Amino acid sequence: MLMLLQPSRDLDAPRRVIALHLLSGLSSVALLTFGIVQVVLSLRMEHLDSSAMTMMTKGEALIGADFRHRQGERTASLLDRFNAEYHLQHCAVIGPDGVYIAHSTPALIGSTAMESTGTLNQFGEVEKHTAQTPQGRSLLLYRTPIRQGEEIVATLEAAAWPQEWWTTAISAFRHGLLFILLGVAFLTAGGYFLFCVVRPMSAIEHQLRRAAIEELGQISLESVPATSLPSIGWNKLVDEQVRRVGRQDLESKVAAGLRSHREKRSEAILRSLTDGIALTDHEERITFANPSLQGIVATGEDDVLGRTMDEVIHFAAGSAAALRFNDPLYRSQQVVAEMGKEGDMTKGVLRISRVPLIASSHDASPSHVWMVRDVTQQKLADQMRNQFVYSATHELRTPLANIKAYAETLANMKAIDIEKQKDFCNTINSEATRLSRFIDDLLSISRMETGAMSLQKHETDMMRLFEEVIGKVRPEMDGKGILFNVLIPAKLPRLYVDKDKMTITLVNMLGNAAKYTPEGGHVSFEVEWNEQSIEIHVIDSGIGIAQDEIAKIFDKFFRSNDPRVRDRTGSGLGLSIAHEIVRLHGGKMLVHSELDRGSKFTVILPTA
Amino acid sequence: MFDAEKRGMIGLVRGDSPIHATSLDQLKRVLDPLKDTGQPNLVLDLRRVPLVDSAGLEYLLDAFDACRSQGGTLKLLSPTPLVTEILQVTGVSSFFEIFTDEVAAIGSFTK
Repeated sequence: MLMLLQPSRDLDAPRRVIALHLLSGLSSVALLTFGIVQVVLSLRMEHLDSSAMTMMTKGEALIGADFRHRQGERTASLLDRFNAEYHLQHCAVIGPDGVYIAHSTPALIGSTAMESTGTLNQFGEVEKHTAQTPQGRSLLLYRTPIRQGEEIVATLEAAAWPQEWWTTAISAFRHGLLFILLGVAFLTAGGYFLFCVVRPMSAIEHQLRRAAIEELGQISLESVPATSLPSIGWNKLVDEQVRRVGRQDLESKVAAGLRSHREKRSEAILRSLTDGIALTDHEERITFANPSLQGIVATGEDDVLGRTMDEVIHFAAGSAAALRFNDPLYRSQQVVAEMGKEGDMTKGVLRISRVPLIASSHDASPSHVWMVRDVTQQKLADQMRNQFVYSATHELRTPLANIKAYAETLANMKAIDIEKQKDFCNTINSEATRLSRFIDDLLSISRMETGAMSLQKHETDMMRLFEEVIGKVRPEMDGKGILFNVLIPAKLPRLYVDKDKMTITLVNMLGNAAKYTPEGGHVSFEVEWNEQSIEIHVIDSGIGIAQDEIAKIFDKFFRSNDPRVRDRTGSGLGLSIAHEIVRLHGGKMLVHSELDRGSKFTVILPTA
Repeated sequence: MFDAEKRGMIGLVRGDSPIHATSLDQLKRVLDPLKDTGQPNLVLDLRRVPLVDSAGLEYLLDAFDACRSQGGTLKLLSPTPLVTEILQVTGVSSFFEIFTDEVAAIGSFTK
């Protein structure tokens, strides 16, 4: 009720109607009640005046007769009777000197009569006055003269309490409360029924207000209780609207779903590529980078986004690739370049391709798609292939050329010294051996790579194996004047090894030492063992290996760039094969070398 | 026992122990540092690995995912017939490129 009565601009019309209904109804009830009170008050005043007139007329006659015939002996009892009969405040007779000569309150006999504060009315000889009690309360005084003949001998006074508004109202409420409550109840019931009737209108108006304020797409219209034709009509409109919005929603949801699916699919495709993919905006800042790019540049996504490709990949300053990527002339063209990782070719090689995004290819500052591929392995493979071709060509052509030359000489020359013929044949034989060894190495490498290399392990007397190895390399050592030291313990364990392959390994190690140790140098072959392993050291005072090449010496076809190595024949396969053989035995091969100081190769084989 | 070596930019991991729950740590010690750096392109040589159990299979798949998430991959080399059967029966083989030739396995990264 209070909410309904609240004066508010936002209150909807139906609620305002109910509020006005209740307000006017209550006002009517209040006015009606006030009118009833006023009427009752007037009626009671009239009744009081009428009773007072009757009493005064009757009293003047009776008390006047008593004065005339009995000298006022019954006056006191008459006053008491009137006082009780007419519910007066008091009843008295005032003498000619203004003093009470008789009074319904005997104590006041002899006292001065109450002073009139005003004359209100006069009905014949009866005068109506107002007066005040000593306590300050108002009184109505009715006074009429008592005559004997023409002479006024006394005045009859009747005092009554005036009819107060509030006492009348209380009296009226007391008697009319049921009707007032019934009126309010009917009013409330009327308000409720009115509320039921206008409630759908209220819901409709509420939604129309929202439609007036908000975007139509943001509000959902709702049905209202179908209590009237307007509400039924409204419900039909809502149903139609819901169907239409539902169709639009479905279409937009399907479209959004397809779009999201396509975007996610595209992103999933990009994220699955092993090539690094990045998207840069017109300011060259990276807005997308797939995990492969982060892997290639070895950094996290957060470290990539917002940076430029130059910051991420580190174009080598002044390099051709950097110049092309930074040249504004190439911004709308595809640019492909290879550059070193972090600007350093030794760390790896990246092939970088940059194309303008199709959507922005005609802009002055287009966005770009970058593709980054780590081609280090390809470069290494190319390098190895070139190395192989070079080595194979050299290793095949040189002995073949020698064999051909000597064979032609033998065939074409008519008279050749028998010693020379022997020399020529020995040369042809050694070159054919060299060819055979190279082909054996190639076969070993091939078997090694296909996993076909297998070991024929037997319990082997290691002392005999070492002696055999030493016997094979000693002539070469002696031929070059190399001081060859052998330090082998008197007692050695018997190991399960592939004797032939282990011999190949050790001959290869000692052969390399002899090959790359200058004349007059020294080579040591030292063996030591314990319960767990046997260690074989080949130490030379040769040309040594550059530090940056040590990690590559076990790679196939690797040949050092040192010209002192390049001048010597070699396939670059020996150490690779030796390393693999040692690994197959469960051992490992270590190398320690200093350029121009010499090298130390160690083979560690488990004894168990 | 497992060890790793570099073939150019390719990490080649070899081993001769079974890959099962109790020996998995050996493989992890060797493989994890490789797969967690840069763009990991790895070959796991299974020629001398006699057995792979469920924990091993799970680790292989995890390692494969870790490599893929950084733009690399993990390939398998020459599993034994038993390991091949285990990989096929469990469906794990469908995730991996499996080679029988080391040269082909290493060379596949250059194509």
